[in-house]
Amino acid sequence: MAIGNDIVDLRLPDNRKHERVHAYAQKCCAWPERSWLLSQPDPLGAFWWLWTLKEAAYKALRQLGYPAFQAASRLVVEIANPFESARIHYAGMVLHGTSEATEDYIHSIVVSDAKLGYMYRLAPSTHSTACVPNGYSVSKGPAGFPVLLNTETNAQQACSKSHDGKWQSLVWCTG
Amino acid sequence: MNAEEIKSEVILILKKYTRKEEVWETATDDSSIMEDLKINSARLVDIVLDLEDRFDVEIDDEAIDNIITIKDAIQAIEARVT
Repeated sequence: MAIGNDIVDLRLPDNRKHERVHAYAQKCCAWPERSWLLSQPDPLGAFWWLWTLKEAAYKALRQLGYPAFQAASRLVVEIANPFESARIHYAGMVLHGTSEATEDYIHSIVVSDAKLGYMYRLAPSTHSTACVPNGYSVSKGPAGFPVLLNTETNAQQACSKSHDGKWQSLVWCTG
Repeated sequence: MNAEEIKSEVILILKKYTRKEEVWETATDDSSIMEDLKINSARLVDIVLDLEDRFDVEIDDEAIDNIITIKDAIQAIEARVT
């Protein structure tokens, strides 16, 4: 089982380059995604929604042992419930995403199994431990990916961190 | 444009997206753009677009996948302009 998440701070100047949305779409999206996002009233917001799903899916795929890659267009979002949920396709694999979109941020969580339980914390803070629940710490697991460690029992759970601008998030599997 | 000029222009573009100047104090050609320069993946897209605009080249998905270090970015451009 694997989990990934990604957050985009919509107030960050770097994330407000509306003039770049066509180039972003061309570089990072498959044709159906491009067609959809460029027809939206806020194409840049639509792009960041797709982007958070792709990034979160990438983090989950890496946990599953898939090789590293950089080109976001290799991941394709199947758009059914925009800004709420989606399936993400990669090399025959299907992952499942849920999203929250506000005026301040877009946050997506992607899991490898739709039945997988998870929890998440999100905080507008620059303090690195603000999202970590009491009694736990985040460390690197044997494969180099973050794990949530129960400091009493040493039990480990797959987790994923994300940070952008003033937002940070931590998600972890409960199953 | 020679190799030194390409390197200089690539580094100028990378510097636009580094938030902390001190990462450049220890940077080498082998420094990872994301790990060592602390540039996130969304900004890597901006960098690729800036490189394409500056050098009038197209960087395809396979080339993007191979841009991990500063040297990789330089080589991606060198392969397309020379």
